[in-house]
Amino acid sequence: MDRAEDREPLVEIDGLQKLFDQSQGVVDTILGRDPQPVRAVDGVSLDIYQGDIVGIAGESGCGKTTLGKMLVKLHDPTEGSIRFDGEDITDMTREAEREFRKRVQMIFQDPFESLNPRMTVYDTVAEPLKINDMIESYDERRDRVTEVLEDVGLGPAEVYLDAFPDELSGGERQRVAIARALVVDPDFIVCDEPVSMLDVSIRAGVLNLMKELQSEYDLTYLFISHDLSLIRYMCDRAGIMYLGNMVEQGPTDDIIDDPKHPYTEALFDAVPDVELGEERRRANATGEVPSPRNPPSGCRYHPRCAHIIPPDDWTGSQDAFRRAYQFKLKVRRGDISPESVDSGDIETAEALVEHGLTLDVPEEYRTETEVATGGHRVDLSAVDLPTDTRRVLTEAAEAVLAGDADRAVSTLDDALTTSCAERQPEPQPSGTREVACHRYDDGGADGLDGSGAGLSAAPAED
Amino acid sequence: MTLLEVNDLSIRYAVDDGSSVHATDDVSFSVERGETYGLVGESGCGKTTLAKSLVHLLDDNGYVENGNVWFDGTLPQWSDEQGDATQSVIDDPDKPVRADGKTDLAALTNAQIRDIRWRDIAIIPQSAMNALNPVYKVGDQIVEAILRHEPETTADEAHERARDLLERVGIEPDRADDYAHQFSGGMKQRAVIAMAMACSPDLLIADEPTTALDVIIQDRILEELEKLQEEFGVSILVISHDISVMAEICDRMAVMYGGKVMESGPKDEIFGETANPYTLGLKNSFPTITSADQDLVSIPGTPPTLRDPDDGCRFRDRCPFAIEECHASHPPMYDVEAAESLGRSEEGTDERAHRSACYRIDELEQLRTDAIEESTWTEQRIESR
Amino acid sequence: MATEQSDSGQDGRSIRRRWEPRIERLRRGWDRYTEHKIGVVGLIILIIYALWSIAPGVFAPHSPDWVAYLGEPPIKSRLTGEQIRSLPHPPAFGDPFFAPFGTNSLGNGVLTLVIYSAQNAMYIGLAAGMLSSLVGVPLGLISGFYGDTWIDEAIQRFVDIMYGLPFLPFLIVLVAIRGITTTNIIIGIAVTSWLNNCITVRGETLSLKERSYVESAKVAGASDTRIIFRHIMPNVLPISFVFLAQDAAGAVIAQASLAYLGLADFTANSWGLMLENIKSTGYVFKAWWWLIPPGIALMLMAASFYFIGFSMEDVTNPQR
Repeated sequence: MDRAEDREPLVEIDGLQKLFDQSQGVVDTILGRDPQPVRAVDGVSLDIYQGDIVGIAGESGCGKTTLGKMLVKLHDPTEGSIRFDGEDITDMTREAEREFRKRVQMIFQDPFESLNPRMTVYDTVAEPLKINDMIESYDERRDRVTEVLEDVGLGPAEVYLDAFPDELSGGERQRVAIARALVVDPDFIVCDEPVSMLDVSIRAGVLNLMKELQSEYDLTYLFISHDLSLIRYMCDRAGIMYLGNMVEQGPTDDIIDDPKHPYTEALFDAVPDVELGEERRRANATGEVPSPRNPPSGCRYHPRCAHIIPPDDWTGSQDAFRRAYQFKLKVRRGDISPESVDSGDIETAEALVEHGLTLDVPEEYRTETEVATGGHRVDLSAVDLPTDTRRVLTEAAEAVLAGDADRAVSTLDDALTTSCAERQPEPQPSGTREVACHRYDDGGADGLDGSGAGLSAAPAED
Repeated sequence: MTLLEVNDLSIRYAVDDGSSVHATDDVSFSVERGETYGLVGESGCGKTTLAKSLVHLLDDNGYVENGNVWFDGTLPQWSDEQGDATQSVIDDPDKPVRADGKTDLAALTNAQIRDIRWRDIAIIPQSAMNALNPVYKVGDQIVEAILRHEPETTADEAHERARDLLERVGIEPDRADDYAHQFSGGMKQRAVIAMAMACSPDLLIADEPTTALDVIIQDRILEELEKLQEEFGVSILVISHDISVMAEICDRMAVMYGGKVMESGPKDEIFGETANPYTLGLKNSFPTITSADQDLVSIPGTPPTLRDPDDGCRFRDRCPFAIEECHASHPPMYDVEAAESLGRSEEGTDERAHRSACYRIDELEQLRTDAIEESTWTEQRIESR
Repeated sequence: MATEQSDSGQDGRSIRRRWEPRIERLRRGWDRYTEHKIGVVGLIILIIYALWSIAPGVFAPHSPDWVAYLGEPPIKSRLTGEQIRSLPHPPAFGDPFFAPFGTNSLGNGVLTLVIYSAQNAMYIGLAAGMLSSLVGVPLGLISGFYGDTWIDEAIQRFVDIMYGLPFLPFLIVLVAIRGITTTNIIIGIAVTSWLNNCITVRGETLSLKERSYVESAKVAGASDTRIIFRHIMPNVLPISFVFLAQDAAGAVIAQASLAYLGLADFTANSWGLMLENIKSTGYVFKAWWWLIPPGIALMLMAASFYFIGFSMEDVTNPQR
């Protein structure tokens, strides 16, 4: 059952990291600030097997495109290694690189940008052949280009050979781009959002073409997309990325039917569906993706996570811990100020706590009071907080009211800790897949109460 | 009650060589009060042009060839205390107001439409992320909108309302003093929605409101729009190419292709009892996240150029079901229900009912069965070669 | 042998197949060029100037050494006292010896001089324009392609220094050292005019190299040279053409200005020199027929370069 036993992976990615923009600006140098690179990809490991279509999904800025570009050597990794067919591509001789270029190709997102406007279709498709000195004679080259164009559905090819890109429609352009990638008969193609710029009615044609070509040319694809329904349609295996980390990977159907990582779960809940009648569950995640320049400590997702793990000695509910933790984050960001509540309230500190314990989530995950007040206030009795935590929160609220935000932050920092913020989770095998979440660490599921969903899918022993 | 009634609206873009692009052709639909109406279609089908033309925001070379846009509301100077058109205005043949008090927006001058825009009809533009001015505070921009359209408001009231609006769309009121660049993508979108709601309009036009957003934020914005509608009873006209977003938020919708409405009616009927080959084709080509095994089939060919199109059905070149009749003229909108019981009859006049522009409306069962087959779509393509 | 014959037949066919689209493209380009009246006008003017430069003798009524009343050199006769008193003294307009546009103070025909000067102007314009493009475009390409590396840094700092170079004093020093020749003046003009070229091309290259077709070429294994010359350069050509035309026009005018200041090769005929002569002989307000023709010739040449540059920009730009 395990693929690794049958076959050698075609591509092995290990601990891959890419930092951008390490150069410092003048102002930063003068102020003596440390450089803050963008951590585009940070510690990704992935195996891609011959003949698979592997999908990489995630929101914009999660590093999926950077990962793809490293695989075709458009970027060099800062750290980590990529082995293609057993050979490390980050350290290749010129000769080996030439060989590599013939075997690995890429299809880009925007067919209006990926074709040189001054080159005809023939020139564009024939270019990889010329560069790699693959076919000497002009006639043979032309025949090969004709053959590939017909393979990608641009037939009769004679019509297209001398056309310029601006004479073609979006779908035709993307087919030309595919032909260009195929002409050298590669083994592995990285497809970066290949249909996102195309109209819906044309997309399916391009996707099906890619599937057909896969068997015809014996290809392996890495399929990068933000559209999860496309990933489901195309891919055998999928990896979900968040802020440069691979949070979950495994067989596509398993991941979609039963997501284990809280982020994956939120991501799939958020996808609208054409199916009628069913009321869809909305994504249970707070806030938005933070800057990859300064990502959160520990698990990158923990500030937004619905299943954040309370400390072992936590006596309240998990939901209460999540709310208390959000309170801490809000105080730290300075989102909570005395003006957040109406000055008319008798007990201002308590009102501030009630305001701070609200969650920025869809209505179905809110308490009644939250729904009634439009997410402005939560009823303290509805939150199962331990008494000493409640005291700490009130103390912090008083500090905020007194204008001493630093004291508020330090008070909360001491009282509300979670393993999610302390250690970065390592990808753990769990059933058919790998999940990078502390809930699937050995024994990590302890102390999880009240979180409900997802617990039944606790780590499977293998 | 009907809020907006678009009748036979044709919009053209003049081209240098004297021809014209038929961006929309005889488009009719109506939006009820409090409902969400969707215009769905691929790029270049005329949906954005249509929405822009409602409030006179077309590019310089675009013009309304014919048709009316009846809107339930009128200019402030033409209305009485209740906001309805006065009798003298209705009786005045020079003023485009009809007996039931509706005003023809297409007949208003550009100066007059400014009083309607934002006050009665607000727009969430396609690139909402860039709709905020970077050099003014977000709150001040909302205040300015309020003061511009409701000059009787005091500055303090306007500020209070701006903060209130931001809070309603889920932004801390304190953030009113921030600049747009301090907002995240989702917050900008929320702020733009708050700004559109500033003068409590009757109709909100949202042009691809979530296209630039990531899926989790899109999810929240869609929820926000639903909540706004519940709270204010505002009608929303959504324009999008994303069928799944439409399926989720719309009550009724129109599927557009090549400047024509191909099918319109309640959402459930359009998805459940699809009655047009184009919509059938679209459904075939759209992957869903819930089903594991699906075979997508694309519609062969490419959308038509709309420069001086001929009389035939706009979709016939790509349609596997095209017959002789389709080449002669574009089909009228038949009432689907009537066609099922009575066969193909006269053009359906009830704009709210499920209607479809297809000559083979009386063979729907057959079309639906055939459309599921992949070969229906691929064989036709070989023929056309 | 039979096979050989069929091979050569195939070769012929494949050559035709290969060149046909290119010829077709040229033809399309020409159609596009002629769409702009202004480009055609520019081309016609420039062709006239080119003909003047190639064969001035055919177009000019006299040789440049011709002197009114005395005729072509070698001049053997002298005017009699009677003649000197009765005939108009140069400069004069429309004298009896048929010098259209009149004569200058030495008695040379103005039209003749204007025609003979075209050669010098063409030479300076084209040479300075090409020279500054040949330096500016490759340096801009390299600088942009290796943007944010030491190569880019070095080129840009050099450009900054050159910008600080005062044009006139530099030129005066240059000709003082190397002598007042047309070539030295061209070098002097090109030394400063390539800078704008370089900076604009660099900016364009910086944005072009982020296009995904450049990345696509990298993935296909293209070398830096190939990317620069096949994928980036064709796309900076439109602006290079504009700059070439501008530099050419600028050089012609700069040369005239320099000549006016006395920095010109006095052995060659040039419009600038003609203007300088008017000034130095004090006829600026007296002999309009001597003043205006070189001025108009200069202006038309500069304009024709601009017009052609404008049209070429359009022809070489596929995004339209």
